[in-house]
Amino acid sequence: MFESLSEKINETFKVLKGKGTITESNLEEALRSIRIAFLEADVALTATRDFIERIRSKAIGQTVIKSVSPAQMVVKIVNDELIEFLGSKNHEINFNNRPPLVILMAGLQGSGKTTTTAKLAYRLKNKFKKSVLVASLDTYRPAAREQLESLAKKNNIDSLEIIMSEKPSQIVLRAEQKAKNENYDILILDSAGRNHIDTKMMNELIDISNRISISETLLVVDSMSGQDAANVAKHFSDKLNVTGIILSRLDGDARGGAALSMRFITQKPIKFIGVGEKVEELDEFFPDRIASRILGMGDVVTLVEKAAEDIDEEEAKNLQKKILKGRFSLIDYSKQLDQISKLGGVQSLLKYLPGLSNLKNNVNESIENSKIVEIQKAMINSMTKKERIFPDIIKASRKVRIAKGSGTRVQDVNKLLKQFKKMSQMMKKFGKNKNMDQIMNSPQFKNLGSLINK
Amino acid sequence: MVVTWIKNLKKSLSKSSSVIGEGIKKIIKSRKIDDSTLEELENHLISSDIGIVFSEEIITEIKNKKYLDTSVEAVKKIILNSIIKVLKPLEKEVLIGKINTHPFIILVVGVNGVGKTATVGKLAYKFSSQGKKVGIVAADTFRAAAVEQLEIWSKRTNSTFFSSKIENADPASLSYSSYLKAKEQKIDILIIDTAGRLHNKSNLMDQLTKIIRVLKKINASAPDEVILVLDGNTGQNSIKQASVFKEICDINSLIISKLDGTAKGGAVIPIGKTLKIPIIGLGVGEQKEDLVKFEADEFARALLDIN
Repeated sequence: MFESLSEKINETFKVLKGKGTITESNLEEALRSIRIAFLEADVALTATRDFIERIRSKAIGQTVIKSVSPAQMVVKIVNDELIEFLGSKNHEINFNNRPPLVILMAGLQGSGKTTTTAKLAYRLKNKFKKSVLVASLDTYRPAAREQLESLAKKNNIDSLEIIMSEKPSQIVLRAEQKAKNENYDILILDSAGRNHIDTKMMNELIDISNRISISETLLVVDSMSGQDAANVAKHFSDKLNVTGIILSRLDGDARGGAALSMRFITQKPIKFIGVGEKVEELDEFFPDRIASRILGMGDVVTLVEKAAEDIDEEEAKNLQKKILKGRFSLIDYSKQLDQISKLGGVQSLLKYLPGLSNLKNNVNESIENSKIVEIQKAMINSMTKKERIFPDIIKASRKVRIAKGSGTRVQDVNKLLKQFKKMSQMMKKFGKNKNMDQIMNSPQFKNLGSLINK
Repeated sequence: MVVTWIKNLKKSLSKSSSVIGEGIKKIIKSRKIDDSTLEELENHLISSDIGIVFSEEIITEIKNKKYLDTSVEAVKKIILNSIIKVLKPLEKEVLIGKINTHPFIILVVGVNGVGKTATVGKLAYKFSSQGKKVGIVAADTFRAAAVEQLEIWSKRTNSTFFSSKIENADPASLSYSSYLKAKEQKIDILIIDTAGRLHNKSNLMDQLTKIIRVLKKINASAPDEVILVLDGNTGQNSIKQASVFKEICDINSLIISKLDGTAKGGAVIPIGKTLKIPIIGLGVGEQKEDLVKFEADEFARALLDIN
């Protein structure tokens, strides 16, 4: 979702690479690229300006440190600032108020409020075991209330029965009454989409929020929003007590700069992100993860968590040690193949790894579907233990045996050995050289995709 | 008639135009045009979603002027002319008049939430008030209550309504059968409303090509018009949306919706530059008559607050 922005910023840092210190002029150059990258990613101008100023003042203050390269330093500064910008903690719904807790959903037309209302209700009901009632206040758009009702029904969520003649102010009161009488924990009100400069409609929303006590007002914002997102956020948060943001449609390919604008303008946490059309596709928002993702530094946290779920941590650590020392055998390689398939294939793995997001495009999707991992494992399984540790001893007759044992051809065994050799060379480099980028940009690495694919 | 739409458009764009226009004034007034002024001007242009490349081009053009008149009006004029140059070729009439094929098939596509259904309603109103017999097909069989929403629009606009009684029906087969029925009923214009889909979801995009494929079985030249609706609030992603939709279903017109807020709809400029897809209308409100003709001069003037 955020790849495009990360790619842009990566480009930017190439400018800084290979230069000894941050001089004012090369900093300016970098800042200009960052500014353009941000604007192209639809980060609002005001937010971009502020951000650039922060980076500038921090960067100049830190020129004294000589042990790190300017590029690393700027990356670090930008990363830290992004995390601060996006907020540093994850926020759930505040359950501390007395039930029924009322959540009001607001936003522009077509931002995804109704779908998000259903998703949020589903999440609260199924993850937190709360009893949830939803009600639509949209008396304007044709069949808007029916839309929420039918979504609710489909997912076993209770919805307020529709009375066609009612005004939003009446619906609110009836919904609150029902929620109180029937002991609901949570009432979610889906308001009509409105234009932020439509005074009449905005007043209606203010009126609604004055009629009953509302514990959360969530602003739903389309992640594809352009520069105007800043105006929208400002108007809504000026007029309503917005307690959080939900970014919808992050499963699209927008650069997602709206996330930055929203945080900057409203200073409110981004609580959730919509990542698909299905009712369960509402995720928590982790600012630190998104920040590193924007920078192309990889969603390392997510990877670690995912890995911890599926993979024996000790095993992974040992493997890592071996990789770093360059003592990497076919046994390890085979284990690695196992882990790759556990983690959901090469593609999904690359997504999480630092600096690899731009490589993802090079790796053909067919890898995932191909049986290459399985075939390679069969070959390794047909080897003796000694062969697996010292693959150099595998000569002609051994190759024939391995091919027969695994139902492959000698050429395939050759290919595996060649690939393994390249890989272990690369691993050695990995250990010695901390500069990931050099490795990523090395010709061997670029060939990796095609190698695996062959 | 013409006057009303200009007024409508101006009214709707005034919020944004005053911001842009004012901004330009503020930046240029009582300052000499140096690099920092130009950079600010560039930022300002970018903030109307017109994109980096185009903004840079305008700035370069200003820089390259040998005898530059540095008055606010002169600078605005340069910007205005650059914008008009891009947009002028994109003006397009909403067909009508010479319909040879019966019915004339319009397919309306776009990502979720851009306002497709309302746009279909407004189009239906436009044609039916011109005395045409209009039919609407509810081919969005996915979103809850989308059919009901469109049915209300068909009543508002005196259009014949085609829908499927089966839930989650196949939109392609519905389009096909509606086409045949519309033919029988001598309908002039048949508008097909499709489900919103993100352009990066290939399975949903395939569904769209299927609709077109089956329509072609009846008439190889169908659909006559494929309209992509873009949300005026969307930023640079609009360009991606337009290019993907163009590639997949060969859209030949754009409608920019939701220009009644502070959104500037500036993204049409980079789209116009790179993809050259004509624009047939602008959505400026929620009422059935709130679809206005696109005129480059007026649009650009309103955008920059120039009379």
